[in-house]
Amino acid sequence: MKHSFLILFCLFVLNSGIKAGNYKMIAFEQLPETSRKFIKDHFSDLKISYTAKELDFLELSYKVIFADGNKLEFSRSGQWKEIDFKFSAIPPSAVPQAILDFVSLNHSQQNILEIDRERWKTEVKLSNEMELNFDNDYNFIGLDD
Amino acid sequence: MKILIIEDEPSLKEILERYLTQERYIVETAETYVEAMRKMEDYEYSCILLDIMLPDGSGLSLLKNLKALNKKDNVIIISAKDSVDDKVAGLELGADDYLTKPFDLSELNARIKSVIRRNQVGGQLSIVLGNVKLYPDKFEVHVNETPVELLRKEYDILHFFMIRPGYLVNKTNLAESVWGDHIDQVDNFDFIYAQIKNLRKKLKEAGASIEIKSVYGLGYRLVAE
Amino acid sequence: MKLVHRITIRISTVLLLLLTVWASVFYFILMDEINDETDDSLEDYSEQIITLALAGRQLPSENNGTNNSYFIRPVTNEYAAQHEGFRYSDEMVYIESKKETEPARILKTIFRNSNDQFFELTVAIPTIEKDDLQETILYWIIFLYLLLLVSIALINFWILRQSFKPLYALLNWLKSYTIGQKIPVLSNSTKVEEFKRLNDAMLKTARRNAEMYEQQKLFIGHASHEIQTPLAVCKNRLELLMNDPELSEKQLKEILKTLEDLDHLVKLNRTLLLLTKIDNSQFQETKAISLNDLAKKLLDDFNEVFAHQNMDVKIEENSILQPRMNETLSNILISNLLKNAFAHNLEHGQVSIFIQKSELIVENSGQTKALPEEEIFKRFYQGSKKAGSTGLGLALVDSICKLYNIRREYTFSNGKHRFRLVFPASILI
Repeated sequence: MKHSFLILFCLFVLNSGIKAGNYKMIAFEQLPETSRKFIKDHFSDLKISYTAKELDFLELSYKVIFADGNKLEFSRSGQWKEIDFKFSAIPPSAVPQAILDFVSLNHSQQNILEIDRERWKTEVKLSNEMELNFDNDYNFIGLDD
Repeated sequence: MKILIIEDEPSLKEILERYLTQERYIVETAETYVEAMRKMEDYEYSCILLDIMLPDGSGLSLLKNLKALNKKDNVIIISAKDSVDDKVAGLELGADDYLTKPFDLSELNARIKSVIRRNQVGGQLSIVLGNVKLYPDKFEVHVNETPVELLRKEYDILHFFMIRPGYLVNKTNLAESVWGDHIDQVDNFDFIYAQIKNLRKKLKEAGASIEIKSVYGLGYRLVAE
Repeated sequence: MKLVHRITIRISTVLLLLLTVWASVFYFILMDEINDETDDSLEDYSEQIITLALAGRQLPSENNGTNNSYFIRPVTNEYAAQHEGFRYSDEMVYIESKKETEPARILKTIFRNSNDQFFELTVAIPTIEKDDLQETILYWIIFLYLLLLVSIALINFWILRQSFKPLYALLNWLKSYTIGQKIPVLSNSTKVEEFKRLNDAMLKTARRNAEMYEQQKLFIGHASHEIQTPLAVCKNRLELLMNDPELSEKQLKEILKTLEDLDHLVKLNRTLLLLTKIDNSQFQETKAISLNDLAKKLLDDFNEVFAHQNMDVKIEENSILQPRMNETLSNILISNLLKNAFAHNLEHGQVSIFIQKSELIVENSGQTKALPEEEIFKRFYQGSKKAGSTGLGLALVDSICKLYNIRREYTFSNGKHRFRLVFPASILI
C-alpha cells in the first residue's frame, strides 16, 4: 500500500519535472556554442526577435525567431535541425554545399526556403513549393508527394 | 470304554488324557496322521476325538478313511476353526459331533457320553445320576420315573450340574452358562442363589437322591447320596 | 474457505491496488498530455502568428472556424521587460462567433520587430472540448477499470476452478474411501505433473494403509485364535486341580481367583476374535429379527440378574422394529447396549427402552456426567473400572452398527445417558 503511493508520488514528481519549463524564453547567450557560431557565421545581419528552449518529452531543442519572421531550430547539441526562411530565402552560405549544388543545377530559378533535417533524410522546400528529399549524405533521393 | 485322542498339541492332549482317564475311560492317543491311521485300523474305539488340523494331514481325510474301512467308531471332531464349512463337511463325512476349541472338559464328557449312548442299541438319550434322569432332547427331568416340573432356568442349572457330578462349580461359570454372556459385569450373584433355592426345593419334594451343595465362598457341587 | 476462493480473493486484492494505481497514473498522465497538447498547439499558433506578423504577411482571419482567437498589441519597453517570456493562463474568454463566454487556455508572448518595438501577442484556445474530453476519459477509465477488475477476477476464478478439478476429484475420492473397505477406483486423469504425482502418492498411501490394516486385523485374529487353546487348557488344568481333595480351602480359593482372572482373559480374547470376525464380515446369514421380542427377552434376563439393584425398568414400544440382520449379531448388539445400561447404573436407577419404527433408544440413569461420545465406542474405553468388564461392549456395538450402517448416537441430558440406534431403511422390513 505504502509502496504504491510512493510509486505514484514519484511518477508525479517525474512527470512535473518533465513538464516544468516546457517552453521557455532564453537569452541568446544560453544557446549552445555551436548554434551561436552557426548564427554568427550565416545570419549575423539578422535581428533576433526572441530565443526559446523547448523540452518535448526528454527531447531538448532550441528555437531562434528572427525579427523578419524567419526561424531556426537546433538540437540539444546545438546542431541545426531546421532552417525555415519561408518569408525570404536561406542565405546560400547556410545551405550544405551538396544541396546547393543540386538545386542550382536542377532548379536554378528557385530559392531554398526551408531545410528540415530529420532522422533519416533531409527535406528541402523550394520557392515553387517543390519538396526535395536527400539522404543523410545529401544525395538526392526523390521528390515528396 | 476306549477312547482315542488324535491331537498334536501336547498340552491339550495331556489334559484330555488325564481328565478322561479320571472319568474312567481307557484312553489312547495319537499325535500324527500316520499314527492315528494305524491305531484306527488296528483297534476299535467307543469314541474318537479328532483334531482336523494335524501336522502331516487333514483329520477330515482320516475320517474318510475310517468310513471307507467300514468302521462304526463314534467320532467327535475337535477343531480350532469355528467355521461352518468345516462343521458341515465333518458331519457329512459321518462325524457324530463337532466341538470348537476351546471347550469345557465337562462339556466334552457330556458329548462323549451322548454319542456313545445314542449308538447303543435301545440306548436312551438321558443323563442319569442316582434316581434322577435328565433328557436333554426333551428338556425333561424325571425323579424315580416321575416327571418333575422345572422352569427353564432351573432346568438349565440342573443340566449344568448333571454333566459335572462331583465337580466344584463356581458361580461365574454357572451364571455364564445359564444366563449367557451378559452377566460378565455382575457383582452380585443373588439371582443364582434364588434359582438354586427353588431347584433344591423341587428336587427335595420329588425325593431326588442328588443334592446341590454349597461350598462356602467357592461355589456349588452336585453330590449323589 | 476454498483454495479457489482464497487465491481469487488474494489476486483480486493485489490487482485492485495495482489497477487503481495504474488507472490513476494513466489518467493523470493522459490529462497531462492533453494539457500539454493544448499548450503545444498554443505555442504553434503563437509562433505562426508571430512569424507572419514579423514578416509583414497577412494574418489569419478571426473567423476561421476554430474558435481560436488572437490579439496583438504594441507594448512599452518597460512592460516588455516586466513580462518576459511565455505566460500561460486559464481565463474566461468571450468568443465572438459563439457570442458566449467560455473557459480558454491563453498564451501571452512578448516579441519585438526589427525596429526594436515590442508587441504582446495573446492567443486563446477554448478548453471546453478539452474538459469534455477529460471528463469522458475519466468515465471510460473508471468503466474499463471496473470491467477489467471484474473480468480478471472472474477469469481467474474460472481458470483456477478448472485447474483444480483434479484436486477436488482426488479429495472426493479420499472422502469416499474408508479404511478397511475396498479402495474405490480413482479415475482422475490429468496432464498436470503435480496432480499426477499426488494421485499416485495418494493411491500408494491408501494401498499401504489398507495392507497394514489388513495385516493388523489378521494379526489380532491370529493372535486371539492362537491364545484360545492354551487358555482353555490352563482353565481345564485348574478345574481338575480344584477337585483334588488334598487342597486346603485357602489354596482352593486362590485357584478360584486365578480361574476368574483366566475367565476374564478368555472373554477378552473371545470378544477380540468376535470383533475381528464382525469386521471381516464373517456373519453373513441374515433374517428378519424382531428387536421388540429380543429386547423384551434380554430385559427379562437382565432384570433377573440385576434384581438386587431394585431398578425401575420399562419398555415403550411404539412400533415393531424388525431389521434384517444376523441373529447372533443382533443379540450381541442389543445385549451389549442393555448390559451397558444396567451395569453402569445406580441402586434404584432407571432403564428405559423406546422402540420406534426405525429406531431403538436405551436410556439409563448413571453417573451424572456426560461421556465423550467418540471415546466410548472405542476399544478398551472404560469410564470407571468395573470388575469383569472387558471394555469392548460398546466397541462391539460400534462394529455391528458400522456393518449394517446403523447410525448410533450418544447424548446426555437430565442425568440420563441415552443411546440411540437409527436403522437404515435398506435393512428394515
